Amino acid sequence: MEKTRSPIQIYYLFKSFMIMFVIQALIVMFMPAGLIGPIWYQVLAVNLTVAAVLGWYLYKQWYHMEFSYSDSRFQLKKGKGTPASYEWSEFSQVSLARNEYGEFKVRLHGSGEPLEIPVSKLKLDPFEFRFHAMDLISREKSSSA
Amino acid sequence: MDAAERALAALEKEMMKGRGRWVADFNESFRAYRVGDVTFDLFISGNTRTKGFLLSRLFSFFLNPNYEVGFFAIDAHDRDELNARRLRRWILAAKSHMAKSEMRWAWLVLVGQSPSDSAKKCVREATDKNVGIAYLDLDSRQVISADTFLGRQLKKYIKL
Repeated sequence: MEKTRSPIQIYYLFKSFMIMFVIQALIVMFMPAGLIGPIWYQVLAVNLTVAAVLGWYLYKQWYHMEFSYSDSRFQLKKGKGTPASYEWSEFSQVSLARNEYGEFKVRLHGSGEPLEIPVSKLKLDPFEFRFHAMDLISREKSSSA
Repeated sequence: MDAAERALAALEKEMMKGRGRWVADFNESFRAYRVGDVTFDLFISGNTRTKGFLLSRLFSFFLNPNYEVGFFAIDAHDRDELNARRLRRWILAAKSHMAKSEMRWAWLVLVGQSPSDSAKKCVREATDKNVGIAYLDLDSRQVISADTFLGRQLKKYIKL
């Protein structure tokens, strides 16, 4: 049975919102004060609304992550990019890595470059999920042997 | 989950998220890590140059040495009685991995219950300068460490 995780990442959603809001604020800054002054409440309301809509769109395009996995394979998709699919049996070792921001990743080691599953961004328990990945890999290895 | 597994999980969290970060940036952890014919229940690799935000990163860059370090832990209770020969085997396995990964020093923690007097003596008398050794007794919640600088330091960081 396939399980899917695609939680909203509040930090990246806020970041997307802020990018859009700042772009609009810069545009407004270069407009004549006489034009904006009398209607600045309305301009602010429009900016906030547009930033919310475009921020959501930007978040979905760039940052949103979707991770789905079954007992034999898993798929990782970031933003609107092409999903990358892998078999658990392609990997032989699992480690848990922490970056300087305190985010955890489950690192899968195989014959090539290690692959990272950003468990903190996917709001999975890193320590628990690492054991789950180890279990899935060893099960796949033993069934293919 | 048995007591030893719980202790290993606590040690892993302590090193990666807790007090261990004062000593080194322990950033990658492996379970059931095989080195030759020895399987360590836990191995965490790290670097003494800790990372951080602006000031701490700058401070670390200028003042901390850039050493690769390691943390090994093994469930000693699962196996036969700890003796000098067995401990030597684990130390040699750790040291062979240290040499391969260019690590300057490492900690080796043995997790067990009610060690015998001879086992305690083995740990206390382990004199390797580059591998700090300690025995974590889950029954008494005491830590017996080797009488070396690294051993004494390790004792401070592995309280349960």
